[in-house]
Amino acid sequence: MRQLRSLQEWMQGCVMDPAPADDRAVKKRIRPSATLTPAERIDIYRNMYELRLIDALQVDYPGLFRCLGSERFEEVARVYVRHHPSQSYTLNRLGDRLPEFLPLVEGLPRAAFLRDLARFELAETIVFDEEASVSMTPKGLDESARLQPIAALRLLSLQYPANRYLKGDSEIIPRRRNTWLVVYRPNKSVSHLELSRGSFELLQSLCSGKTIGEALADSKLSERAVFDCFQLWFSAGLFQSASALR
Amino acid sequence: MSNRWNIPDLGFGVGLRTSHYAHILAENPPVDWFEILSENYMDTGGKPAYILDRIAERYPIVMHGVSLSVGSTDPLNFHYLAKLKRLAKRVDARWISDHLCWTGVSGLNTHDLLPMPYTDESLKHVTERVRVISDFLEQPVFLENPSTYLEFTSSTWRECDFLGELASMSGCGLLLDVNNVYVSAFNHGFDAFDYVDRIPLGSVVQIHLAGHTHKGTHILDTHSDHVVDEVWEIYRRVCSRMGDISTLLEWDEAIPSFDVVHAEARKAGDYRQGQPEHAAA
Repeated sequence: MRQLRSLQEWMQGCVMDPAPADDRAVKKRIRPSATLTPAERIDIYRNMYELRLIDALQVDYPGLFRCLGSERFEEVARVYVRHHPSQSYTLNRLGDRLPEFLPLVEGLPRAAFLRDLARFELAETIVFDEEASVSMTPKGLDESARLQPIAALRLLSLQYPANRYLKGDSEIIPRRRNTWLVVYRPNKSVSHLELSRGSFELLQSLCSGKTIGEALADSKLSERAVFDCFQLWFSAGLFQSASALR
Repeated sequence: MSNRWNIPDLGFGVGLRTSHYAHILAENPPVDWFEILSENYMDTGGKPAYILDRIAERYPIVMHGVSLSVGSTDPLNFHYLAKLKRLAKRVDARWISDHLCWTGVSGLNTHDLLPMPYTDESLKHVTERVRVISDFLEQPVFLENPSTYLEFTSSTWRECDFLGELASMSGCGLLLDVNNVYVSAFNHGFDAFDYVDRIPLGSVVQIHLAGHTHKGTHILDTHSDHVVDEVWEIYRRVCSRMGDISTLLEWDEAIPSFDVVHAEARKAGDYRQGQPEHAAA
């Protein structure tokens, strides 16, 4: 298997490397065709590699694509793919590290907003594919219950209302404003709710495994606000079970 | 039956694509079967899984993957294989196929179907892996001839002979992509009819048809258009030699309406010798 291994490592290097391969090495390993040189033949694979991965990122990050524009998005995606080549059998996970990568891209304006936008889009992608759960009703719950959120739920604390940009028609970057979101999929469609900081913290406590009583003790929300929160969250189907029911 | 697994001819199938979901669910078009891209459904519990379940209730499903990487010198990914097996059970897949290729090494994935050098070493390597995969999946695995854009100087086998020997040694079946034969024949300058004539009888369980993009100096397997006449003629030759085999039309770029794709798949009937077995039953 030694020769096969060596050839595969070499070819993968050629395909993933943005610079053309050493011509002598290419001629030694690849036959010319009637119309193409060995180097031109391997370039077909090299060119398709980056385009395929950039396309996959564009599918997962349509908002980022819209905000950056085609040319800039492609530049960013190209650099990202070089730093974080796929290590999975699925392209679905290719962009998982993009939000945290964006602030590291040199000369990228509005990086904090773009990071939030990408975090929101990544959360939507993850929630889209999560396992389906059956939502519960609040019947019979008391303060000793620990609520189990549905699998398709992610909490996001953002510096910008990236959700409003993504779901709106405006191309204007929103002003910085702390934004708390729950992204969820109660059935087949992904939704999100914008929460107040207090309600976000209460939901975060519940999702972390605290009992309802413990979470309420930590919360500064009024009784009325808590009631509204629970009503909204149960009607949205955010929980699938409770561990202690009286 | 025209293959050694006694796998029946399912007739004319269509590759299941997201843009056709609504039409299929609403109209129940009279398609003989659907082929799914395995990786599109292995990791989702959301809408795609829900829709697939509805479609699998109504139509026979065949699974076709792009990430098996049977030719890679990296260890097999049993996590992937376990998911593949689970999905096959879920949709009651008639069979599972992938490509004779490798997608990456050293833990990386190019997500491309990279060509193998056709050597004795490759043959031994792929044969061993096919056996392990088939044992794990508890069913034969079927491999497709890839469309390729280069040939290695180290290759000592012709691709068609390599596939035939692989089928014989490993027990794998073949998915003969007739468009890929045409594409590779142009790119490498071999005779496509000779290629299909050399594929062993009884080893082919499925045929793929698709369109491609001619770039002048080479052809790219883009699945972006109608099947060209030359490919239809190769298909006719395969059917006349091997009998009627489950035939699938792939369309992946600039995908037209479902009716256009389905009509293209049904054209295959004009080139066949007889009727699919299930239609005659």
